[in-house]
Amino acid sequence: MHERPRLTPIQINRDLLRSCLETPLVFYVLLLLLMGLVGLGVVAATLLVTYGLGVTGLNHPVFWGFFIINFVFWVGISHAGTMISAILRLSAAEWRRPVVRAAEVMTVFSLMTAALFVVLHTGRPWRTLYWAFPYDFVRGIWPDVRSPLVWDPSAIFTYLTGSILFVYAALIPDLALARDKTTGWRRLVYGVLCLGWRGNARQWKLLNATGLLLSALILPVFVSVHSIVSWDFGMSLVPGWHVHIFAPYFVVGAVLSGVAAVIALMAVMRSLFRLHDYIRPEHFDMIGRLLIVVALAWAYFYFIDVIFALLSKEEAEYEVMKLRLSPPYLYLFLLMIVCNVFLPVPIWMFRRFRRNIGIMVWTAIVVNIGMWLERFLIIIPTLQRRHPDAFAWGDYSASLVEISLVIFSFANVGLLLLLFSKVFPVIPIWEEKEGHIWKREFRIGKLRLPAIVRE
Amino acid sequence: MRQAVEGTEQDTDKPVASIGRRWGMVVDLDRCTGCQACVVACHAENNIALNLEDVVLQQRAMNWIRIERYWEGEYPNVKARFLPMFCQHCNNAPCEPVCPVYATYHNQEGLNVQVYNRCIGTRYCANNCPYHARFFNFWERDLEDSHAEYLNPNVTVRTKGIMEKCTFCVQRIRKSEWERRQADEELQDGDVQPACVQACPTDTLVFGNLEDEDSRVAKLAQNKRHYRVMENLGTDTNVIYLKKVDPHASETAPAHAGSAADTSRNSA
Amino acid sequence: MLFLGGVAGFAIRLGAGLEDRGPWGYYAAVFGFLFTVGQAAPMVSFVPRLARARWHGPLTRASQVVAVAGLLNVLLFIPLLWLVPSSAVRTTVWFDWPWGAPHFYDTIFVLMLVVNGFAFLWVQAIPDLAALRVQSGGTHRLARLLSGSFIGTPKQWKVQRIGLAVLGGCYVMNFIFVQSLISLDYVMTLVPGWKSSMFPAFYSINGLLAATAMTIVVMAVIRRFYGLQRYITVDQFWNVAKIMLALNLAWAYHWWADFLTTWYGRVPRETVVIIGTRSFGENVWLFVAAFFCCFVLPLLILMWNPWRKSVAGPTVVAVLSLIGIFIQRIIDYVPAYLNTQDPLDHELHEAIAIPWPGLPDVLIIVGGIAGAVFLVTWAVKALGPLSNWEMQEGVILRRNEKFLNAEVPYVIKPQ
Repeated sequence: MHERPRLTPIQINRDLLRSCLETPLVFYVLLLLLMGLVGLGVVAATLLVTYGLGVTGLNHPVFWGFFIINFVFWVGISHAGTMISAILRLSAAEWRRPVVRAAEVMTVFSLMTAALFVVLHTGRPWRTLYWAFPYDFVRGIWPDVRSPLVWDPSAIFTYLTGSILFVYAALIPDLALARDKTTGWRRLVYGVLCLGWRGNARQWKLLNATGLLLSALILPVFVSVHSIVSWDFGMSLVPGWHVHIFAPYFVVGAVLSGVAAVIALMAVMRSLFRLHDYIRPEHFDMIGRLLIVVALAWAYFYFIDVIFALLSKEEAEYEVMKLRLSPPYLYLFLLMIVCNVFLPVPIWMFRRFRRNIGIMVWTAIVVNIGMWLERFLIIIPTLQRRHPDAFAWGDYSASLVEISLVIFSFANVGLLLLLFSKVFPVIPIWEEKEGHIWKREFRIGKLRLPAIVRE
Repeated sequence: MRQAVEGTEQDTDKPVASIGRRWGMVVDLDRCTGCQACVVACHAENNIALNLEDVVLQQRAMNWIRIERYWEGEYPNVKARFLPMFCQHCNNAPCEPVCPVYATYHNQEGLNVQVYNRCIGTRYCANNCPYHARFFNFWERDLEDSHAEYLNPNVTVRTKGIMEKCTFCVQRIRKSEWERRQADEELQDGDVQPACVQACPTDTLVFGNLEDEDSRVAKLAQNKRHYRVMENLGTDTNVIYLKKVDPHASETAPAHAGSAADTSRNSA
Repeated sequence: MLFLGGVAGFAIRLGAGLEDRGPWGYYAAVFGFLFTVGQAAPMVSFVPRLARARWHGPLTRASQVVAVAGLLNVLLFIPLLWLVPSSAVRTTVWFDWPWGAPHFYDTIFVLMLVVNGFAFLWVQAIPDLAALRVQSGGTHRLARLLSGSFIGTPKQWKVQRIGLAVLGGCYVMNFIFVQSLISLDYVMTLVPGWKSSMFPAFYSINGLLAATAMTIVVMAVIRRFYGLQRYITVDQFWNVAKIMLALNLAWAYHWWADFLTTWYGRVPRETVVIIGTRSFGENVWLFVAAFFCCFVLPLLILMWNPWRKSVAGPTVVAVLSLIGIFIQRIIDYVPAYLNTQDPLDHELHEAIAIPWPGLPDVLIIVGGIAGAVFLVTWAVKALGPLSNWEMQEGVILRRNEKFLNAEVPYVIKPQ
């Protein structure tokens, strides 16, 4: 694209491998900080497993709480990877190049974190672990495939496997490059990991085919994962959860939060690894445009959801929505709407703001706060007023254990991303070079316009 | 798909082939005085953890059977309505298909049973139960409490992290069955009495086999006052309530007792 | 002629009176179908533009032409206003709004959509109209009137582009909004107990699918009868086919989500409508036909790249999808209008079977569709089959250059 500075392949190699080969001080600072927070989470999880779910704020009507909110949130974040890499790859959008790997890796790590919360949230996690696999072969007892909670691990592990393959396939040429630039044991490790990549024509052809095939195959998985997460709620009889629109609505919400998270991640990478020549304002610009559409679609679905609850003559469902729309939840509701639509969308409308990285990062954070609140508002108030049965209504406040585990989840994803960036290049070097080779400029009249080979 | 179509015609799609026995209960609300004897009996029979003060404040109290109380009318014409609520043993139970490990399922006698050993505590069933009849063990049971000496040996003491709920005193069903089999006889109507039924002083609760047309419970279930709680959800419960006879019904406001009255078919 | 037949059928129906809603089901279905097809068309020209895809040049005019059928919708819409009860006797999204809700508001929104659509199309056609004005030496009065003083200065182009973006963006939102509204006010709230929040979204997806399909059909027809094989290439069909496939999948996805939620919930109030009436109950064969036409067959055809990359493949799928959507509209509208229960009831007591259409119904269906085809043909004649300036832009922004040893196409992307 036209803002792309002229870089030689050597420069690209040096810039993009820098994060793997050098270790600045800030890396250690961040590492310690994140490890501390993760340690806090480990303590909390130990308490949880030792003493049982009593240490949380969960209670009789509110059986699901922060853990499930967090689970949905992180599965949502994980949708960014596929959205960006698969869809943009298939539609041959040029601006995807520097973003794909970071997004995909974030997918993998956030999915892992999400899966962790499913296990932690159950009453007997040690049993859940072998429940994820069909167990009790001798007695012939199998998981009940009718349960959405069986669809969940199936979908998540399929998606996780697919995403790891996706990341790995695209990593191979870069690993080979790293092999060539390093010595000693590192060379050995990279050499093993790159599976004997020599960069001949056949290998490139296979790699391209793999990329396209995986993109096409992962798309249905991508849609199904968050649909299935939504069906954890939709398949139930709980008024306020038994909502038909949930599947597409959750998918759109997931894309919104995930793509917004990618913005934040890109900005961090840009400043941390000095990638100013690679992650440029135009990328934020394009993501901003994408997000306008996604945020408006989200607003549409949310509007339908609210209207239908109010429209219904179902006393139970109306009661739930009434609670959601009355203080104190009303304030959260308003905050969520402002965070997700009314604040960011007008900002994204303007090209000047879309190209201002600081503003984009703030909108991204705001959107993710909004999306977290959205899950909160779906789960907590609904359970508090589940069916008009006055003796079983209640309230909920999260305990310290739950809050520290929420903090842990953010630290955990951050830590894993940091470690990844130490070992592997965060921007696909070969894709970046491909973009450089394919671009060209044309003159039309007095204008010089950028052009790209049609893939 | 076939099953679904039948569902629209209000045909009960029974998950398991019946063996000519479908345990059910009739609750005659006209007789209920709200004395809570059933609640106490249930606690004693089923080794339910004590609802100490801190547990109640945490909103984690467990009552397999509870008396729902509704106030009706304006002062001074206030009436208290009582409705014993417990697991309705739905034929079309919302809690069953959502369990990933078959820890709750429908057995051949129409009972909705909970297998403690298999339960992993996802609490999905509790969320999906419209009757709030399922309870979760948030803490490990402290057996040093005063209850320890009184545990019923026929009932499992539940560990932390699993669900529990009314079983229709399945241990009593098994015991009666066994006694009759020793004498080489068939189970008779009235043989089995869950603890709550036994304790009820006003004969509000009647338990028996709904498939047996001659049983007392089946006859009562035909009473024109009969209805099921939250019938509109299509859960097809095995617990049938008989509406309260209200001689002044036409004078006061139309009877509306929350969930209790919203689906009544026949007026008293 | 057929159109006149349709008018006759309409007259017969009118003779039978407006009080009884039942017999008007098929009429409403035709309206719903044409509304879906006609009004979604500007979207087809706008969405690829928004996505900055460079292949849509020849496609825009085809979709514009279809949009002219939108005029017919407004005509068809008028009798429906009397057929549908006001919000006083049923629950609607309007709650207790004054002034004849929903009729008044719906009319306003439908008109707004049509005006918005035509404004969008007009802005899009300005450069071509100006060219026509110049070529005819200023004698073409209509062109002179509509193109104003457009002479192609940079400023005019800029204004035109911004106008397209704004009007197009508004149109997309307007379209989804109005489709949702119509689906609620004219279908769903007529049936007691039917409360599926998926329905408006599903209805809109149907609209997008129908518009895409219609565009493909028009493209294929124009290509054949105007001999434009050089301008409308397989490339265009290939690209629209991808969108088509995506929409076919989205159709199935939305239906499946709706169905599954209902089936799992096992709430009688929902199953009787969504399963009993709309899919596997009384009208199972209609549903199966729609399902095959909108999902199974398109998937089986379009999943193969050689078929995707042809003229025949996408065209066949487009025709199938249109048939499927028409059947879907019958499933939507006819039971809603046949329902004799009070819409305020808590639930529908039994599923509604769809009867065979009578003679007036057939006349109305054929006439309505024939009328739309007639309008489209007229529009092709009046507007010219291709959007000239976009074609030219496309030619400028795309060139073949040598790359190493191969000749490859380059696409220029102005910011």
